Amino acid sequence: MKILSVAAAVGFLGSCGDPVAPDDVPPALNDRMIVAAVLDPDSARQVIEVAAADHYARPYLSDLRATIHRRDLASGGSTWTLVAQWDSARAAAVGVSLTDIEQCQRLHDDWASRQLSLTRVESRYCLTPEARLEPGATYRVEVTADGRLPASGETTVVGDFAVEVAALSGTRGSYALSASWTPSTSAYRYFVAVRRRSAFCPNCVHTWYADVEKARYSGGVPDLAVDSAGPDPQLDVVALDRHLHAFLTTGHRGLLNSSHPVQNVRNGFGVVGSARFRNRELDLASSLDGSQPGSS
Amino acid sequence: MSSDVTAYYSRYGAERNIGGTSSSPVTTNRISATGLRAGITVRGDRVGGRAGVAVETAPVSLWTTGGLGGYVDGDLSASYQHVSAFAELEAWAGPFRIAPGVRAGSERRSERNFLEPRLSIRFRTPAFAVSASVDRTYQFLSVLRDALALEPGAPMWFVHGRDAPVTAADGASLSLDTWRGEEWTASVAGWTRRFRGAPRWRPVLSRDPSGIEYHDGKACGFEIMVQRHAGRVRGWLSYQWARTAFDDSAGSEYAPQWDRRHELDGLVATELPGGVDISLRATVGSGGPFWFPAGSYDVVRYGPEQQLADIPLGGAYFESLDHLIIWSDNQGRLPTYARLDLSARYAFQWSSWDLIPYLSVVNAGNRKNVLRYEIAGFKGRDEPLLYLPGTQMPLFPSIGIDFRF
Repeated sequence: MKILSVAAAVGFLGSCGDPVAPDDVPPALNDRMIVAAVLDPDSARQVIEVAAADHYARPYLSDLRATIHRRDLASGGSTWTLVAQWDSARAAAVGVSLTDIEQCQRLHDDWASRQLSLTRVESRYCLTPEARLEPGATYRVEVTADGRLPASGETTVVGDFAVEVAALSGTRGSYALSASWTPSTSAYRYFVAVRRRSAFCPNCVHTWYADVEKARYSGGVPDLAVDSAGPDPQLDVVALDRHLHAFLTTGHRGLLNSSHPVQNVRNGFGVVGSARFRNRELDLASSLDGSQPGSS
Repeated sequence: MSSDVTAYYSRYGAERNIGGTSSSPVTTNRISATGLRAGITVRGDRVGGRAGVAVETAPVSLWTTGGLGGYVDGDLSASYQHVSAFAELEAWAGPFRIAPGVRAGSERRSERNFLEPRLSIRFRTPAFAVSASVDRTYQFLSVLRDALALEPGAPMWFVHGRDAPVTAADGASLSLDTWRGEEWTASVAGWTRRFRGAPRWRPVLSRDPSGIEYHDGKACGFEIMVQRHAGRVRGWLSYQWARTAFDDSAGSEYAPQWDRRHELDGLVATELPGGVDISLRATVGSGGPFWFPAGSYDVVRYGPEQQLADIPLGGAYFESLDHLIIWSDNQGRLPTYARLDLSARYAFQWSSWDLIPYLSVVNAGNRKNVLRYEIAGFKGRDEPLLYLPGTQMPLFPSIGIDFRF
């Protein structure tokens, strides 16, 4: 006997209800901390953002302290030397508060990059130990707070580099970017981008960038990236260590199947990594005539 | 006396794409099992038995391509070669049936040996039967399940590493069965089971398989069931109470996702005048365990943007895509689960074909059974957290027709 079945269904595979506050919910505690530190040798102060992992129940941290240690190669790499530390007393001495998150803004010569921020809760802390870091050296960031597991992570600081070639050519539908730079010591990979100026692209959702291993990029650029670059397009290149690269390229939140990003903070969440930023105005090839970036 | 020899080959495959895009890492699971079984069966009036040998070998591949951040990072591929010999006896003595058995096995790749004894005894009268059994089993192939998340999709299997324990389970059960003719049966059964070395994976900081822990645990429960097998109205009604608990590496007890304390299950089927078969199935059960969210952090991507309006110097070089939950160590229970399913079918002949149109309604009461909780809002330090319940299948009607020819 053969069986042929024909069926039609009407329905939905799930839905969401109204928000509820379940009864008898115990305090949801987690003794870890969230730490985001991107060490940058270009800066005289390092910025470390910290938040409580259980910030729904216990948002505040006390006796918060961050230290930066350098691995001592002379001892075979087994010992670490304290090179910088920061706490509320040191912050107060220079007139800032650890809760002033704006100080985590990293200033550059003509622009600023926002420090890696891993949570949007108000009770975030910004620690800014003063330290000039040596490219190629390995540093450990340790964060402690009262009643919390001490969190730590290590990174090898990426080296100096300079953009040598930055040229944009082609026309709509076939824009091409040619860029090269000197290699950065200890860099794992580079992000290459045409900087987006949001005022020119209010509806843009994703920003284009290329993720490359070598110190060069030669390839296409989406029209949207050029359109949103403004009249004076800028090339951005970021050299990253492997920890920061892994953190920024992994992790996904799905409806049912989420995965946390690859991270390197022991006894905590987040990343201790290293990055350096370089920026240069793009040379526009003559073939861009008639379709200048930002003109559409 | 009879003998049999069976050669077999089976293949299993599963894939998970974390991120859901063509450039996202893909984790692949493959099992190709090849085996040979041979046995001899002896049957007698009062004693029977069976003995044999078996060998099964299989590569079990579990790896991720496309970079870090897959379901599991790294390569968890391994293989096993399991050789075993078994013997089981069945003897009757008056109202008693006694069935001892044993299997001796060896996993050759990891050089581990297993001895799995079992014994069951049944005492039967014309009105009832009492059965008791004890057994020990070992398992070196397990599912790599993220204990913190509900996961759709096919399971990902892995072979326990050489340095990892093999899961062992010691069980005992006792049951009473009674019947009234061939129409009614009823049973009461209780069981207890102890586990050692059961894998548990909570991949928060890393999806590195080295984070797999092996925990000990225990389960116990009982079930009462009444069934009517014949007659105009047929069906069953059962109630189960169960408890499963494991101890983590810090010694704290937790309930696995499948732990459900109470479950009441019933089915009624009958034929209406005119030849329409209808059935109604109802289930009410305790909610499953979950971990309360403690906080969250963001999934961050590089975003070379200069926000001229926000910051005079401008520049947001990291953009947040979404947030991931940080779980606490405090477990709670989802609300009570309840579901009512209805179905009706009618069979008739058309030419040489049997046609069976049917109507099925899943969750006829459209109850919003909670599948999981998200954080809906955080008002303040002394305010309760608001949870947004994600619910299971709502009212789901379907119609169809079976053609038999």
